[in-house]
Amino acid sequence: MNSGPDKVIQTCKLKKEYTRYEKEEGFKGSVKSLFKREKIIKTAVMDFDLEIHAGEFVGLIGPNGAGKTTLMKMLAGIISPTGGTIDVLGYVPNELKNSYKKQFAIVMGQKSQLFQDISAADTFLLLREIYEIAESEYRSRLTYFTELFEVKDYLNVPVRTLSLGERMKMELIAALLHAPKILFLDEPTIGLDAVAQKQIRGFLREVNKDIGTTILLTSHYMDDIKSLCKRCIVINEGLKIYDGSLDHLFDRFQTHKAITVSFSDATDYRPPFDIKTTEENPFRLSFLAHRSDVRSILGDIMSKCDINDISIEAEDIGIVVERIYKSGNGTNGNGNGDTAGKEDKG
Amino acid sequence: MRKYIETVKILFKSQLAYRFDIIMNIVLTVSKMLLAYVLWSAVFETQDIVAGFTLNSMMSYYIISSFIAQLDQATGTGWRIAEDIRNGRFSKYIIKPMDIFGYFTAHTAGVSLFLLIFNLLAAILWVLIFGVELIMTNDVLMILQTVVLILLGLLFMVQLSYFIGILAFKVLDVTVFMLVKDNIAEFVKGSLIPLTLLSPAIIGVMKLFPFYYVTYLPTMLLLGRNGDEALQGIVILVLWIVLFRFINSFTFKRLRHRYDGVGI
Amino acid sequence: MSIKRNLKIMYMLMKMKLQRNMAYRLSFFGVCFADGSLFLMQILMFSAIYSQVGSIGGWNKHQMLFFIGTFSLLNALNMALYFFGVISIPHKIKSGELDLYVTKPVNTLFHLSFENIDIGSVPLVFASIGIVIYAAAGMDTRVTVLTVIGYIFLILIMLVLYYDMEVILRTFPFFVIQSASIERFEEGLLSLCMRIPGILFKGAFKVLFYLVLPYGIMATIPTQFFSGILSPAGFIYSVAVVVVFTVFTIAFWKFGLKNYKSTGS
Repeated sequence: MNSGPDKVIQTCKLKKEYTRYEKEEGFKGSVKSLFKREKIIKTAVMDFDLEIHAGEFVGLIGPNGAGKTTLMKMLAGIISPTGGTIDVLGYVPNELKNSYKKQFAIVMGQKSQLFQDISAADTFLLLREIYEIAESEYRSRLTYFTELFEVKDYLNVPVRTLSLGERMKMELIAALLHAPKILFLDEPTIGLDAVAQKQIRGFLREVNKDIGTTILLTSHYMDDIKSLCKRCIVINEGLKIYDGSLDHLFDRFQTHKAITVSFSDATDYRPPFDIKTTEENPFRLSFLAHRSDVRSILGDIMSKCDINDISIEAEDIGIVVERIYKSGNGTNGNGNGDTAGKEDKG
Repeated sequence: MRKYIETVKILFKSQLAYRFDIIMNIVLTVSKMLLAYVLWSAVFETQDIVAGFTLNSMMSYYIISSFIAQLDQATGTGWRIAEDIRNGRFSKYIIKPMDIFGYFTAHTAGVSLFLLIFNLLAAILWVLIFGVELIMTNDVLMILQTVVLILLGLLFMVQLSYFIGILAFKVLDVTVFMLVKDNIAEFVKGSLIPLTLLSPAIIGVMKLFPFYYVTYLPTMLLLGRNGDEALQGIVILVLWIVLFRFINSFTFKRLRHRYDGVGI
Repeated sequence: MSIKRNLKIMYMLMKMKLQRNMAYRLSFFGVCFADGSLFLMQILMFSAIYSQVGSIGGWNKHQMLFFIGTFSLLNALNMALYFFGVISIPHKIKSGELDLYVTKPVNTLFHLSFENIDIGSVPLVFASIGIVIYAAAGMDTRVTVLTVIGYIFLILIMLVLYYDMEVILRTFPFFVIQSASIERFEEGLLSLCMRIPGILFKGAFKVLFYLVLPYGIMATIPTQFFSGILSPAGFIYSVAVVVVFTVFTIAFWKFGLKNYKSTGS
């Protein structure tokens, strides 16, 4: 467990449990709950081991409530873990030392740190004081980012009047002004249109490459993850179920192809393989087939039917991810994932 | 009329969800009664009669006036009107085929009726706690006049809060008006001290304004005092109500056009 | 964290608050009108009572006026400095907005407290000082430099106590979901204790308002000190209460922060 020089985040057996008290609805339930409450313990993050190295751009994916945000909040020190250890840049995050807080930044798509009624530039001035940024550095960074993000014109207008995309760019600048070593991004592109999403991705890539900021990103948009992260971590029900290269992830889990065949004549032909039919009528058949079977299936179709058209597509990402989540509880557990992760880092 | 009665009913039911209003009501009443008790027991340490009151009749005054004052729930309605205007939700009243002021009057009545039970219980509790021999008139005419005065007074208070509420069309934040109104009303209605402690000249001026008749006079009537002022009170309150009827409909017509119903 | 830096951040926060306030001109002096009218009514109330009696609980009307002025002064300073910052804490805990404060390299409570400085309350501070001076002129105590210094010192520590009480009640939302009733509770206590001086409380009430929830000493002790009727023990007692409550507030807040669940997103 010796922290190497470039290891920036390391957790061991990290665990977070929430205790909730349930009460029956209505007035009667309220009265009852005064005496007896149903205690429910929900495990948000379980036995989480994680190692992130300086300069990495890591994607964190998982369904809603999987524990992504909880994990991120623990790394940022916002909430305290129930068990296990965290070491970020040599600090225990939840001790909330100022010297630690100066070295990271967190951006949450749904929470704004900018004041709505005044300009972003004004908020930046406050941040300069809070983070004790030297004047010259502040100037040069502000210039660098405003040029990179192309937001010079919006710097001095009330934040309230900015579009969502412009506002998010300002949020990112606000987070980057003190040159954090680590940037935590929780759904930074949520609600943005495709153009703005693409722009934000471009900036993030630049920041990671140019400045070397380590970035940990959660997003609902697979496109974000796919275009930014080499490494990705899949989390489901608090457990890490995959940790490794993104390419490898798709190699392993994009196991099926989606095949659609249009027939010239009505037929009740079905390929004699293990397939999953998604649409069928006498002139058309859509199904998912295992990658290794595709060649034989095509051969069989060609030899037995008259076909009008045929298309073979990669499986929808959503389905792939769902498969990973499902397999997380089954055979493809933690161990394989870790191995994959190490391959990638090597 | 039916729709207004339904409004009262719904409010009555939904009050069950407003447990915090009840808590606030209780806390504020408790603090007011404690204030009266602590203050006046100190005052009566040095003399037995102050402005015609003994400690016992003074506590009776506070128990009754606090009960009547709690019937006035118009402030909450004013807040709601202002809040709905600010958030752009006021259109839900504009589109309804009913008189808007009528709706809010019914709304307030619903809240008052709901709290009536609590307030009665509270009043009884105070009598027991402070060991007060509650002095109450048994003159039927006086009680009837009191009831009329109270109802008119409550209507006036709804009008006033409605007026301040719809000012939100123009100034957006009416918080300050609302708080200042509450602070002043508390004094001039006689909730802090019986108005008879003031100099006759000031009382003379106060009698021209409606507040004198909202809580103070009904309380005094129930205590069997100031019987000769009841009719005058009813007349003055009615005049004020008519006046505010005009002010409110004029203000509403003038300001409504500024409403842009943002984010409905 | 140096005092200089904190002052600078406070200054920045104040400047930004001013800019934000510009948007709502009418409510800029809101506190002045709202609380000014409150204390004005209270003065009217007591002058009416004093027209009938010579003293209440041993206090003459000048002392009572001094008391009202002192509470108004405490309240105005509270409003100007930290009130609006502190009252926003429960909402920030519940909405998870606190995340952004926790991750800043400034003391979180400090940042929250002084983010909503209200310059509009300053006139009320001066008006209150005016009342205090007017009341002092009517009292027959000899005012020395020491009296003034002692009074100012007591005002400052009572301001800290006021702050402690406000923060303690707003730390509860870290542990309980419904906290609105706690604030109602505070409202009721304050409206009681700002209206009548602590000397009038007896028995259980005395214990309650002098020790458990020491709202009763905030303006009473400075008034007693100024009129020369505060015993040395009373002075020491009030300092001790402030120290104990401040230590507790800091510990309780830290404990609350450890318990922060960061919900709402």
